[in-house]
Amino acid sequence: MNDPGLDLDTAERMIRGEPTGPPRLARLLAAASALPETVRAEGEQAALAAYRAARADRRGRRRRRVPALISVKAALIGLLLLLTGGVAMAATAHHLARSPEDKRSHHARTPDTSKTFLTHEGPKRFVRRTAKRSTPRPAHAHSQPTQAQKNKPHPGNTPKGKAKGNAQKAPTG
Amino acid sequence: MPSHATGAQGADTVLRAALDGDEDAFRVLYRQIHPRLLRYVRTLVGDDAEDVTSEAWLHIARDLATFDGDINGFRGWTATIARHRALDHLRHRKRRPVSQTPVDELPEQTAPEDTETTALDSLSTEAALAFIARLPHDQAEIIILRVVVGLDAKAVAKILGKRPGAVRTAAHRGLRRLEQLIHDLELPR
Repeated sequence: MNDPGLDLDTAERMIRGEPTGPPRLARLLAAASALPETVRAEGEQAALAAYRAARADRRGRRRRRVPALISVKAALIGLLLLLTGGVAMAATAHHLARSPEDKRSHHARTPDTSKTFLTHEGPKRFVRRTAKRSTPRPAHAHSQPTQAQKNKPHPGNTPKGKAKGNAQKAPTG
Repeated sequence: MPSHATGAQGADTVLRAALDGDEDAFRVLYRQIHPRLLRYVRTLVGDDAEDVTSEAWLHIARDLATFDGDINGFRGWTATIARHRALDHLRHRKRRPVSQTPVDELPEQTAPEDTETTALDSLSTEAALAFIARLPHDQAEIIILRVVVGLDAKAVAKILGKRPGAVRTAAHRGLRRLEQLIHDLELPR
């Protein structure tokens, strides 16, 4: 109190460690903040164990979260495939039934016997199917492309594209 | 506080590594910060400081992933956790926090006369802390947080719920009082 040199500014600078102010007081502050040579091993080990445990816990939580996300994603994709697949199948079947390329390719593979029917019955797509069955049944020919579609992959990319788009959205949503 | 100011960049690197999972970096941080926290906690809870500071480190390690900032921010964050643990400890022991105890009722925690006598020969850390412990508690806490833990007035103000100006004034008063104590006890120049 009887040290006129220790004003607010000097005190502030001493606290910051600047070499100013009364030397004994400066020495006292330096001694108070001096780091010890060693720290107690038990305390350090306990802190490190807590550090390890916290990290292991966070890693564990991340691992548990990933399969959950994947299964949710898989369920979503499955559901979308189911919903869009049916529509796409129907659309594709319709497309197949009307496609001129399809008609041509099937025509090329048609056995020679079908040629007989072609000449006699006119509409090629009817003739192709009936030729395969070896019995001319034009009335049921409409269902044939759909049946064929069930046995091979979708030529159209509609369901695949939709599923992919949703798979990308799944983690964020 | 030159020891805090120098190598701040290196300390930031160590902190970053510890946050990224480097156990050795965490050990370095512990060795740098623990002794300072322990001295601070001792001003709050006295003899139970070791246990309370250990408990604070469990919280620090557990919540480390939530911390975001530089080494100065980390010092303030750890001091805040240590203070909360100390105040919890005092509550559980159904004692009033030391900071709310009038100065003349404070137990003689770290300032027995023989410590001060020793201080006349060689100014050890313990002796220096014993001097600081003789200050009114709010001044002692502020000086420990600023000089020992290494926080600026703003960070201390945040921890204690005071204004930075009030922190500076209390620290100034504390230093003047310390200087008086040194003079009265004839600490060698």
